[in-house]
Amino acid sequence: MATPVIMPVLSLTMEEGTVAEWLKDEGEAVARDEPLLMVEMDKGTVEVPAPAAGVVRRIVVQPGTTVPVRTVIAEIGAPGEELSAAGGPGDLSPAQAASAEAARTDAASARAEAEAGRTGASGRSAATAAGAAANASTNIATARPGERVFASPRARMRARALGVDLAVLRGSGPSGRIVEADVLAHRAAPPDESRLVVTPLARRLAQERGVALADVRGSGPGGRVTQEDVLRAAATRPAEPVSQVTQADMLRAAATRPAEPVSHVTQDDMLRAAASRPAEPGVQPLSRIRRITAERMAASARAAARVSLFLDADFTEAVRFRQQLEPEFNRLGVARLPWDAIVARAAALGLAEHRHLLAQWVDGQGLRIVDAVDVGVAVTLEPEGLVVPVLRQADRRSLRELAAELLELVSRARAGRLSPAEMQGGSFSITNLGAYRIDGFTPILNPPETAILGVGRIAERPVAVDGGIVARTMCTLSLSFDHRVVDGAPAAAFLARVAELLERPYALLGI
Amino acid sequence: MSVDLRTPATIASTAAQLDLREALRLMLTIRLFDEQAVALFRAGEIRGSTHPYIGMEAVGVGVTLALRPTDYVTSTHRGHGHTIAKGGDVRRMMAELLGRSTGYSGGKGGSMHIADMDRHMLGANGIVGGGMGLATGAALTARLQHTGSVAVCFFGDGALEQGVLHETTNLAAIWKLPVVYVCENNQYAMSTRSDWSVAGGDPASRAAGYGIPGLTVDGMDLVAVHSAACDFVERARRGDGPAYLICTTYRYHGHHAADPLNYREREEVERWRQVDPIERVKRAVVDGGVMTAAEVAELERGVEAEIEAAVEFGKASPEPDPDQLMTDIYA
Amino acid sequence: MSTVQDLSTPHAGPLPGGEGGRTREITYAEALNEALREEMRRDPAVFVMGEDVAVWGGGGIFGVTRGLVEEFGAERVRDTPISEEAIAAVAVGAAATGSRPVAEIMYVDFIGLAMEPIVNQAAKLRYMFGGKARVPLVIRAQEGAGRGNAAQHSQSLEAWFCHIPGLKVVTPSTPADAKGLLKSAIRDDNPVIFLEHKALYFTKGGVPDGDLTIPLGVADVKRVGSDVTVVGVHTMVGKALQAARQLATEGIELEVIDPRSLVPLDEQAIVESVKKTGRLIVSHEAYTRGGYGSEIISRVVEAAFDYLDAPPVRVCARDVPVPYSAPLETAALPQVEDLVTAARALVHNER
Repeated sequence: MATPVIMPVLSLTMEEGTVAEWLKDEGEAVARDEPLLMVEMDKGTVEVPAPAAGVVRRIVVQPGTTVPVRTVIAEIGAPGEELSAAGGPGDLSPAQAASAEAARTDAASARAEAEAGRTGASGRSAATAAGAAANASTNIATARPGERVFASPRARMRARALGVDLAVLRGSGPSGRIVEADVLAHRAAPPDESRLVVTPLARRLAQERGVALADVRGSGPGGRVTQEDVLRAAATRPAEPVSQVTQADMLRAAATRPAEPVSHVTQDDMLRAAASRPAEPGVQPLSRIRRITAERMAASARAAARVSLFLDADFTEAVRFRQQLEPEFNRLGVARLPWDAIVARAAALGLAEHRHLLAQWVDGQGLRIVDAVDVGVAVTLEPEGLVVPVLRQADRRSLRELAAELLELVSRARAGRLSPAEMQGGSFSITNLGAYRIDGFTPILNPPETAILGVGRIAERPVAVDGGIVARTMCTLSLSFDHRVVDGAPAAAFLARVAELLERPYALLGI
Repeated sequence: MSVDLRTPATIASTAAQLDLREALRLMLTIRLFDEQAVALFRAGEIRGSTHPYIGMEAVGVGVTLALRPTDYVTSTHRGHGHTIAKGGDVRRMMAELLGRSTGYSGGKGGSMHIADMDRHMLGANGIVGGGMGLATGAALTARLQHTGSVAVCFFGDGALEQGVLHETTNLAAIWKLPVVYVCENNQYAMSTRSDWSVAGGDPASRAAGYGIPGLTVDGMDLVAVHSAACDFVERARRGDGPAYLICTTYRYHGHHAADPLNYREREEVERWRQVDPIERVKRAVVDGGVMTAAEVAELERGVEAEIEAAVEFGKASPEPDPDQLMTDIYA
Repeated sequence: MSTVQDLSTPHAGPLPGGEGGRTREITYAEALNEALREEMRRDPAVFVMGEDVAVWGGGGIFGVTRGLVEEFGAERVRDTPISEEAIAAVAVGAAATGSRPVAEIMYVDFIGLAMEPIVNQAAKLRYMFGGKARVPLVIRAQEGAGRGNAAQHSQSLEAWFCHIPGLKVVTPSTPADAKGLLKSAIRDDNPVIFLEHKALYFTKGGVPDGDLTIPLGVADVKRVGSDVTVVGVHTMVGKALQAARQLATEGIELEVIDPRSLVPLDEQAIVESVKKTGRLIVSHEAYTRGGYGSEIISRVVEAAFDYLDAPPVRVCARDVPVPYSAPLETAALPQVEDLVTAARALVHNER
């Protein structure tokens, strides 16, 4: 009767172990206590000696398979000796048997892939038997170790050429097949984040909580990042700006991930996007900034029910206000008092009274209530591009603070040194085309924001006052808003209040 | 019912113009060649099959001697006789049967696909009736290009019922093409008798339906065959169109060399051997003072030697190189 | 029949021949007529035979042989009785003996009667006779459905001939291709099965002046694209171009390849295209099962497996005799919408 080799109990807490590697093949002789196989368990990988001398008659459990402790994993006997009648998966439960069977048939491909020198093999610890059986019919996001990777031939070829490990990829093809686009998208992603082995749940959670996976230490087998790891990281990270993940989502959805911060965009940045088709002659590839802008604009145009309201506000008093304040600001170290700061302050105070314009449409679910009055100010870059740095909590900060910060942000924006955080999470935007002689326009919403205020030219115009025509300094305020979220009257009321604050600007000071 | 209206005098005059010595040589060559082929087949040296012409020599030789070298001949699966009668080289024929690269088709055709295009012998054919279109088409070329050539289509009684015979005869008749359809009625298709399978019982009389002449002759009589063939060939060459020449003959061997022959009696074969065409020609040349008996024997020995040499040539020749497999599919 | 603009899409490459540089808009049938006329003038061995080729309606049921008997006489333009086997068999015999016949089978559906001389004689004489025979024969026939001609007058049977070594098979889709390929077929020393399409006869396209010959075995990229390779036969070329126009508005760019001759097949052109796009659709009006599209796919998989990002797709006729009633016939045949759907599914990784 052959001697069974069982998955040993190597620690008090060990419930299951993974056969990592057989050190002897079937048919090879082995001495008692000679190292027979390597087992991976929660404490690490351990050498397991042979319980008896003889010849390895049968290997029952293939590398990469996880089985509960005390499961028969091999048999040692004398040549010609009768093997146990049950044999093979007889000692396993049906789910375990299925797992062992699946793992056995996939072992060849797993081994081949390991031999091909793919990275990540060391990160593989076995799926649980039940897990593997359950996963057989679901659309798994990434390949569980030991499982067959379904990838199109082209994807395999591309992965080989680029040195990408198919096992870490999520397939976007039918039934989770990995296609070329998946390989290329991965290649454009930051290496540290994507080469981690992360459970799908953990990955989703990280996205929702805004946790950078690269910062998370994986506690799972082989350094795998689990759900618990992500939650732990989310709980302990420093406080972030109040904003939800909004613009960040948009950036991610644009299917490009910058290897460097957005601010370092240069005119001749090649798009490291999913589709690396050769450009047609005469067609310039887009810069990232152009592409992101374009996609954001298009998305906004497609989704929102945009309405624009125009209001001609009398800025005569505001001009006087600014003229008087600017020297004072100067003395306090703020070089100028930009109109945008004034308008942003007015808008912020208006929003504080009309908070419904801060609510955001969430597709298929409802409205997200936003508390923070974070006003983005559109800044045009040379030679091309548009960024929107955000003045946080503009309703609670003084005009002087806003002016100072705005000047700082604009300066850094123009130097290409804004950080992503400075551009994320606004809840309202203002945009000023007055310098270009534009009076009124229909600004496009900055998703996911519900409203945006356009500022036109501040200039003298003939105006009717008390039955006569006088010259007043006027400015057309253009409010675009998403009618899905806010009706016309409330939006108009907000705009009217903003105009009122600008016409009686002394209320903009902290009173 | 067709009638042979030629008088003995006509036949005699034809005989006088016929080179009987050459005819005998050809007939002997055919017989000895095919006897050798049967022996080689039974010895396992020839693959597939072979279809002996033994007993039918008068038809092939009698008709072909009525032709010019530029006239065309199409043949059947039983084509060695036609090839030899048209002047084919027995060495290349034997080499082809033995599947050698020196054979007529480089070993690629075998017995049923031997052709000598230079001699306008458009090939044996493995499809019953396969030669009818080829011969009729050759006649069409002759007509279009004004070459004055005539095409002879040899076919067996088994082909009388192929639809293509009707179609090509009709076309040749309405276009008055220079083609003669020669039926070698050796009484059996494979195992089925022609007097059973031919509705109406008289193949030659079908010609009248097309408005063309049809004649039945004794296919064991070289001179009779030759005489009738000359008539029809000249008629065709004149532009008067096709004709049916039905030659009544017999194959001593089976349809092919492995034929069980359970469909006919031994006595029948013996009866036909009594009117063996070669024996009749031998008697004619000796009686007519054309050759002495000794010369006949010597001729026969010469032919035997020639066939032996052909077999040796074939056996000594190499088989085709595998790199010849995919050549000559396209021009 | 109305003009079908799709089929005069410029070739990706320059058309050969054309000395004067002038291009005329003529129909597919007129182009074939020109080819026959020019070749018959050029070589006295060329002659035409078939049913109703000389007199009916001026020459041929679709006018392809119009005016030929007037110019070349009844010897070289021969009406035959209804004898498909004899037509083919006699043509083979004539070809083997120095003529260059262009024999017509009126509908490809009738060619079954002529299979013996085509398959067993024409295709094989040269090989069986060790290279000693030459059969410079063209057999013309027309294929195709879509006009309510029902099951026995609507088939596309090119697969039968593609299967037989020794034959060449040509399927032009445009007037220029028809003319250039027929001239080449007539000059070819091999038996060529020249398959036209009844719905294409009255379509118009640009045909350059001059001695236009298009070599067999060279495909034509009728539209350059980057996302999906579509190999089309006959009317499916035009439908693929229509599908391409529609899909371009969705940002999907089809590359449409017309093989023009199925045997010999320009495998390299198709493989190069699939290496670029990673996705393949083959489309013909012949039935799906055992259709020539299967052969093309097999070859692409053999040569470029690693370049495929999705399984190859056949958009071909359903495996059913072509029905008579219009909605049924439309449903049985591959349509533009089928190509659009298939291309979208491939690009969106749904297949």
